[in-house]
Amino acid sequence: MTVLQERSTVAARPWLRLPRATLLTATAVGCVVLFALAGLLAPIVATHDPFAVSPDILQSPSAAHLLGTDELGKDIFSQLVHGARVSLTIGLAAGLGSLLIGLVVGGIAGYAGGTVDSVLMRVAEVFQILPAMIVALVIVAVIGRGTGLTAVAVIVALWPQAARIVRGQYLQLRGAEFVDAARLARTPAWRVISVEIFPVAFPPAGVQAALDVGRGMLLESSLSFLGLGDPNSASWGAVLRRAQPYLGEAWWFSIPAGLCVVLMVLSFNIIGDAFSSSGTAGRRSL
Amino acid sequence: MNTADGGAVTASAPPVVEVRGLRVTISPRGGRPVVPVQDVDLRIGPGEVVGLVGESGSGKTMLARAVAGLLAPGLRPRVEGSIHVLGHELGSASPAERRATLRTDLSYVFQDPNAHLNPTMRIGDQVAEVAGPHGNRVEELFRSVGLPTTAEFARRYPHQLSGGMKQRVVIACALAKDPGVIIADEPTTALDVTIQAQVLRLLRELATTREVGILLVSHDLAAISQFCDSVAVMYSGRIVEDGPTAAILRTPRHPYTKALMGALFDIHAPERRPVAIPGSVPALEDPPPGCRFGPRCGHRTASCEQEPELIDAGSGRRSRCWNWEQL
Amino acid sequence: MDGVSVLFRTGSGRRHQQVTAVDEVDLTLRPGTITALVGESGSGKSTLGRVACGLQAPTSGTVSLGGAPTTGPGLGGAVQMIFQNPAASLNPKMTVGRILRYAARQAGVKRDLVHGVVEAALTEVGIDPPERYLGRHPHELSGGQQQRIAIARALLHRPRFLVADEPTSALDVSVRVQIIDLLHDVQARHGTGILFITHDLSVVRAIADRIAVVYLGRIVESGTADEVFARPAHPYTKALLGSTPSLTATGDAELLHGEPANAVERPTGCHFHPRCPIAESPRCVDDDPAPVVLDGTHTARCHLAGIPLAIADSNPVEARRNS
Repeated sequence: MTVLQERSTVAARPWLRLPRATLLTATAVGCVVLFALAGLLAPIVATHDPFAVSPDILQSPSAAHLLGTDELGKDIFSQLVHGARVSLTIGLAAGLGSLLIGLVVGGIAGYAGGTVDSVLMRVAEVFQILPAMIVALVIVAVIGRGTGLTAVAVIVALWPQAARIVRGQYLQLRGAEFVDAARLARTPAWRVISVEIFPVAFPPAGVQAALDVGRGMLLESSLSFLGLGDPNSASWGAVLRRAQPYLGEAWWFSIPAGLCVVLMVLSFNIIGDAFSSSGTAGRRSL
Repeated sequence: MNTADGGAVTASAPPVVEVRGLRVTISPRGGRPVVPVQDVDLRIGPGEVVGLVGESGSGKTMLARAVAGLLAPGLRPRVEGSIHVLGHELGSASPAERRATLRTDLSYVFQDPNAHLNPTMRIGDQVAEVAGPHGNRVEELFRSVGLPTTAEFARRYPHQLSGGMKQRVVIACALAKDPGVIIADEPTTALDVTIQAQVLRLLRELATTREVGILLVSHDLAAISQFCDSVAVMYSGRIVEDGPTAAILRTPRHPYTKALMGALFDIHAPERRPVAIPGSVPALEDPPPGCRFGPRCGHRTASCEQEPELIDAGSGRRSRCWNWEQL
Repeated sequence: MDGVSVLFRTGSGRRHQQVTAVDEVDLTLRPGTITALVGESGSGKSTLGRVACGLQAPTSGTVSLGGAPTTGPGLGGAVQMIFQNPAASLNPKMTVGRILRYAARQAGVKRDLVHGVVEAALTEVGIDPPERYLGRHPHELSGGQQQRIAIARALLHRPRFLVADEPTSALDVSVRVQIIDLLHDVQARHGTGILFITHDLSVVRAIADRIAVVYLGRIVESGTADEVFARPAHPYTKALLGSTPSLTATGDAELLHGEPANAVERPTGCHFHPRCPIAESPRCVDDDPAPVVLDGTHTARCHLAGIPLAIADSNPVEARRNS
């Protein structure tokens, strides 16, 4: 009787939902891998020292300078390759950092509830209502400039969103029936939080982290574009800032750097989306 | 209160809905195409209440939505066969004509009244909006669904009403344009039992007084059987039995109907132990060969390896079982 | 051992926005019996169930087990719960095996015996063969199977009482019987007392030994199943009986008018009077009726319950107080 009762479960398997987005996702992952490799192997991939000035200023792309040179005669291709390093580092730091803070703050707020929740969420709101850009601006302006500080600025600007998502998950799951069942089995609170709830609450936070990588990179570029980035790094935003006066005459100065930013942010968004659609497939059964 | 002859009288009038050979194929993204509804004939006369009964996965909601033209585009549905609503053939009609017919002649009542009502709009205004400038008056509609007709009540918002009252407002909206047909998809599943009986009785009365044909979709045979002239039982995308309600309840002509009735707890017959139906509803992706109910059927014979048609079982009844006479 | 009983003396439930979900309820569960808690949504029956298994601490009043006041989730492991939505009651990220092994370990089963105990529990609830299901996740199972797993998990704790909160309302008709039969078996085989929370009186008729009818956080009628079904004394119980769907009913039973009152604005006097077909002014409007003992253990909270048969025959239209 029970054998007959077995139901085909094909529709419920999350991986079967993937094909529709696979091509796009694969392209995005490929893009990220390519940039990551370029960044990692920057000294090898780069054809020139990104900081070496030369008399060949504002030259159009050629065999010697793949993407031409800037106003100081520096090789743009090499700058972009080294810039990938900066962008990816800050992006990943933003993703991981905001995820970590989000999990801790959101988890505590959501599970504890009450006053703790109110206080933590008001703090998060303070950061959230200020545009991310302004938070970063203040930090950079007050403390100074440097890759590490830029990363901190970006994380400070981004963490509330992750915290809010984690908190929502915990708040909702705290009352879930499987959590009640665990409590009836005399499961200690730490175990309920970490073993029972965490694996269920994590996917949406993970998705947010992927999106935060992209947002972090965009923020870094914006800060550099405004001249608030690390002056000693060849970040994409910095390249764009210096390209500003030459937008009309030297397209190779601005467009490739802009493309790099767009491609990376887009890629991380697509990866985040792919995560979230496979995640909801699993959660739909909840 | 409703018997076999109730169905027979209305059957002579031209039907408000007539469905023939309906087949729905859906191809959700990332999945194989499946056929949740197949080979369905259905007719609803004016003033008639037809119950459409089935368990989850039987295709009853797909069928109801296909008739109403409400299948989710994301499923990429393909509807074949003919659907007549008040004499308009929807299958061959242009999209604009189809929409016009469905808008004026057919109303749909959903399971969850909250999904239907706009939470930011006063209920009187919502009903008036559906009725249009020349339609029924709001007080009239409220009176016919048993709601207070005071101006104060019409100025309330949906959240100020209980679930049963909200469903009455939804039914008032459904009546506002004087449709020929109302399709009610599990209209009482979200409601309490004492309210469920009120709402079903209301629908029954409206069918009679306003000559509107009602398709009452439900998973609960016991709940709707008292209120329907005829019943169609669905299983795995097909109608396996239909006919006048009283006759079906007295002598079911399909093993599934019989098993479904046998699985119900009956408050008036506590000594009769309900019997579970072994197995479960087959998955759409993987239907069994031959008769769809075969693997779970206690009356299975060799002929069941071939899928039966709907067979005429006399006195307006049909059964999709080769052995209906032996039941 | 026949003196074991769980006594709830629950005072005004959650004081959230002054909502009294459960209002000074006394309820005694006897070991080895099935007690049905019947009521509509918002009646407080689920809250009462959560209090009964210690998931919800009562604002006032006590829950006693075997005569001693007890608190904490599961009342020290003696009470387990079966939930309405079986899919949500199993952790979606854990396999069936992991869920059950953990339950067995928490119940004090030695590590090397866990596997056997878990398989035996699965076999007992009709999941056969067990080893095919241990590695699966809840979403790979049908609703009926999920509910069986949930019951197996509860049984691993060898509870003295089970609280089953609408355990079949999310399941299809054909599966419903299987789960009810399984709960019946559990009670018969282990002598487990069951508090069965439901709105469906037809199921109650089939399995319950005792019945408590809840309206707006109060028990308005209670007694053995036979007493309550044969001689319902409270008008609300009668209305519930009349509106319970049945294939054999005629469909013209007297129906309640009006909507259930909500727990925030409780009516004065008898909470049921605005919907009551036989309410009398001013007594029912002003005075809150105390429980009346009718016979044996059969009690009803109605001013007019003392004169049982006369009420049913009286003309309800005359006495009706329409709002």
